[in-house]
Amino acid sequence: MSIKVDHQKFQELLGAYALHAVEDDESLIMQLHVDECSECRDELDQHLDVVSLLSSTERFAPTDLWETIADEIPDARTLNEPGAFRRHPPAASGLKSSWVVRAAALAAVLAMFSTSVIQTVRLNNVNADLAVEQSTVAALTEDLQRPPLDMAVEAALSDSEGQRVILGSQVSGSNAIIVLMSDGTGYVVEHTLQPLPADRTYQLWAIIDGKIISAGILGSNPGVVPFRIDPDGFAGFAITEESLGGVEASTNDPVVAWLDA
Amino acid sequence: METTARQEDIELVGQIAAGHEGALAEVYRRHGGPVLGLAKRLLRDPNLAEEVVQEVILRLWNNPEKFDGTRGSLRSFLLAHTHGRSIDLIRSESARRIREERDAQLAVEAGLSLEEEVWEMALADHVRQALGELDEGVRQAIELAYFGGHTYREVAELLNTPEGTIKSRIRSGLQSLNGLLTKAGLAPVS
Repeated sequence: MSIKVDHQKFQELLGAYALHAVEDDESLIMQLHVDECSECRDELDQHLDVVSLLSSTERFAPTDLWETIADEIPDARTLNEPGAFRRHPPAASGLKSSWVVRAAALAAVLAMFSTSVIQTVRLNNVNADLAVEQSTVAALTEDLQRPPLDMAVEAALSDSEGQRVILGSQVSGSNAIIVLMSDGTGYVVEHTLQPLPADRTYQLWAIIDGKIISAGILGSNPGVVPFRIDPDGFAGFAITEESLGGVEASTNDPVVAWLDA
Repeated sequence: METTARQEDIELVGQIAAGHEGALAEVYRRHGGPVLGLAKRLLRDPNLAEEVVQEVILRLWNNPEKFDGTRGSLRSFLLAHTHGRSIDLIRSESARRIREERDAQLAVEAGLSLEEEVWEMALADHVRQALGELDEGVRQAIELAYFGGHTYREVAELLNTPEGTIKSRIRSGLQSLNGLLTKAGLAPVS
């Protein structure tokens, strides 16, 4: 009986422990318990994964901070060693849009006009036309003020590996356009869906390996909506109308749908 | 795809353990932004926040074996360390001045302004929506604990609510968030 009560007390503290919202002595006790209890460890891991989503979506950390970190790393491999990595700031990769190239150009231009030396930014265009640089800065400044989602969608639309899918319905007459990347990242970019009352929502479903899996809530009057699915076994999309908050499994006919022939 | 990302995390940390600085640079590229954003939000001091980022990244370099790829993503691991270190700073004697200023901001009446600040954060829309679907008491408890850096006992005092209720609200709130984010296709697979 006492063991069961004690374990319940540990379980009660798991949420607060995941948020670092416990006293130091409680933290130590919880750590010891979690190390031994797989049930609590699994629940804690689940809480921590959810908590990580509460964190900021700030996308990039500054280059000069990386330099400071790199300076603290002892005995790192040098350029002369086989298989070595060069000590330069992590370059953006994985995106093929012009946005990435222009962002790198902005870094180079800012470095040219900055009073502090940024050793890790390559100054490849020292002799470039100043007027070209200034127009580049103006364009990039405008880009940087744009919402990240718009920029991500633009990148997806211009990516040759992106798959554009048109969901439709002869019954509703509505359409929706989805861009799906090879890694499973996707965006509902356009649609002609009728706005719903505030207590209703559209919900996106993906058909994967014969199963219908929720890909996210779109809202009652969706704008551009990002989502992510497992691309392996992907065979189609459907959008249904549901009650606010969505459902785990729909019993409604799709408003629009698309199946991979 | 989540499995692929998890495998990449494990491979990167393996390369870090082998002494490849480029692998650490890649970790910084992938996760430095959210780590810095969280530290800045908690500490409200960009310089302190950068110090925390340094500590977290260097801790990974010095102790890569602490990351267990079977127990969650590298990002959640780094963010948990960031949050913990930031909370340590907030609660430490050396940061007493910071805490006094923050407590003044985070009084019960200002609990509402904290809520506004949370909404103003660069949260993903679906995360923001999921937070909004929680009961007010549950959401306040989570916000005061996570973003305010308060222990559950302090939250109970701030909200004039029993400690047991606060513990329960935090735990059930996180479980509800997991359900809501899973529906939105956002909750990572542990």
